[in-house]
Amino acid sequence: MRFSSLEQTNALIGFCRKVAGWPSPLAGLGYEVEGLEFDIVIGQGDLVVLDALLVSEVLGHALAIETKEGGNVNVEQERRLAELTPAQLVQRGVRVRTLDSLLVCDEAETSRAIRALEDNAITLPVFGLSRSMFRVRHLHLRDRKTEDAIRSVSLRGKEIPHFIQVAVTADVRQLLSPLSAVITEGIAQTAAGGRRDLDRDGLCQALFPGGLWSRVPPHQQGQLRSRVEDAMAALLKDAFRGRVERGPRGRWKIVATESASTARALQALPRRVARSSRGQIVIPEEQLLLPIEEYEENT
Amino acid sequence: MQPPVSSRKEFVDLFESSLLRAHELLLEERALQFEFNLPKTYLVEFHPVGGISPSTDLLEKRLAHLSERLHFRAIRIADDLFQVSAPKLSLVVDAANPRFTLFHTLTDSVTADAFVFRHFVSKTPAFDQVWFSPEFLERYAAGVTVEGWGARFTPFVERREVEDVTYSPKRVRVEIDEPGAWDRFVHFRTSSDFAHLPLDVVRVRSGGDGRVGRARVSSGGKLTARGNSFLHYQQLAIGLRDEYARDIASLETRYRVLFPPERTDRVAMRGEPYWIEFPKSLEDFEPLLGRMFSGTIPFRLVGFLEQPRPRFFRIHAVDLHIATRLYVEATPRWLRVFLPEHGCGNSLVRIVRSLQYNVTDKLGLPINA
Repeated sequence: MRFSSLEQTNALIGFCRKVAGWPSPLAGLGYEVEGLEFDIVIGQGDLVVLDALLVSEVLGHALAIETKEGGNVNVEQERRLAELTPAQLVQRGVRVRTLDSLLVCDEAETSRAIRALEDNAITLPVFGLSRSMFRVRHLHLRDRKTEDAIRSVSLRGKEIPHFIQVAVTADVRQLLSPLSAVITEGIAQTAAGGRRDLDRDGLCQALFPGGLWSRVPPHQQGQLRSRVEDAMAALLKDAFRGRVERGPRGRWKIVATESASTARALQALPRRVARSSRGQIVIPEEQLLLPIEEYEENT
Repeated sequence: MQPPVSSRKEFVDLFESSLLRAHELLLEERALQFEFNLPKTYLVEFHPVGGISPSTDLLEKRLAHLSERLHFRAIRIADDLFQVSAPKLSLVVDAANPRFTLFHTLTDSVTADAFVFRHFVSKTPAFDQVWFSPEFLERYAAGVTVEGWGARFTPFVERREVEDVTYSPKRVRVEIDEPGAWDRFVHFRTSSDFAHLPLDVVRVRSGGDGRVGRARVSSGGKLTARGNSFLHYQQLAIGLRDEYARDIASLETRYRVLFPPERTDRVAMRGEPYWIEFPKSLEDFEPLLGRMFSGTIPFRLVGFLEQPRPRFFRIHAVDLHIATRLYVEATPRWLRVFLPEHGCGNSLVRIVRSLQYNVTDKLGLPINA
């Protein structure tokens, strides 16, 4: 299975952080995530959208990154990315002296992307991400320290940390687990005397926290709202029946009965969700580890 | 029955005289009578749901809201002081730090423990026990006079293990109160005498010139007073609270994963996941995950598990203690915990210490890195 654009972005964010089970080649060079879905207007109003902008204050250097799931190249976008200058970033308030633009692809797609760039005389370094390796596949970075740090990073046996957990393109099935947690949080908060309603935009905001939701392009926001509604309908059919009721126009009401919000009722929700949808798993109750006191008391 | 108080001065005087009476009685009879219960303090975290900052006014509202459901009466007796009363129970709640409150009581341990731990904290999201991890207690002990310590390790077990007649649990319970106790702990900790020795209790002392406050500090956030000075004891409690509050603030600053919108036209990313490494690959990893996200004690997390690859899990979870989501990634070698914007550092500590007391005390943690 190919790495999605989101997984590639998460992998790069992870390179800037010290995290168990994931290498941090850029953290030591002082790289921070300065922008996600970062857009810059250049020339006559042309737009470059960076999936990630990583900046090292230590080096005064920026990495302007576009990630790609497939090997198709948008020639105009890649040309603008290749021609991006530090001055254009400075105009956007990013304090850097030097800049490297690069393309990151799934390893299996790099050859196709490189061919397309060469055919169109676009000078843009390409890195490939596979399950075992992140490595440079085409050209080199201007900044030698950065190049040395990421030219070949072993990823064997490692798992990408999901800083951003949900993809904008997530299908209904992929939305079920994160939405289940948002609904469960709502039920528990209702039991605590907090909120009672869920609404479509609030759910989207919960899936894309902070400023992420506002960076999702409007047409994708619309599509996602619609899939969130479908996922809610699926969850209300069985797993959350009797706990959440559909209200008017993209709103849902949490039914805060005492029995629906007790710890025992909340504990049962993962089993209910797993029973009614594919993708979730449940460890059978008889296999759970026991606190030894509990075992002794119960026997 | 503990008489009601109407000011901070009355509260301190009452506890001072009670501790002194108990101290004298101990000296005379070497035993305590029912009426002379030792002062006790419970550190309780107040973490309003929805990311609202805790305040004494909010705490007053919350206590009023809960009082009917949990059958107690709450009266505000000063700006940052409340009296909580129920049949056979009286507590003075010091909310000078409204997030980390001190519940003081002269009520007997059985009644007070039952109310605070089983009735109040476990049934009311927005309140949580304070969880002193073994590292925290060790660090705290290094800066005070230690008179004794206790350690406890009660491993989780598989059902088939305990049903095997030859099974013997690898449980550890040690408590030592004697001169040089701390040196012995340090010795045990660095030797291989015990496979696991997570610190669970420290007995500490403060004072001079014949006035002394002693506290038995347990990892669940409970302090029991001894000595002849409540004021010295109170200083110990306040010192602990402040040190813990600093720790939690530091965890939350570093380990909340945030996507702050900046200047309306961009979003950055700050923070990182908290990570926990096991000393070796856990054999019973999946049964442990099942326990962790079953919504039961000690973790109290409900989780929706996905398994994208063998031995790798992604879990969208809810912390039932404070009704807030968190996201976890797990393999048999490590866990990564992603706290959201209003996620609670206290929950991180609860996860870590639950693993230390029940799975292994040899965790690799960012604070040890």
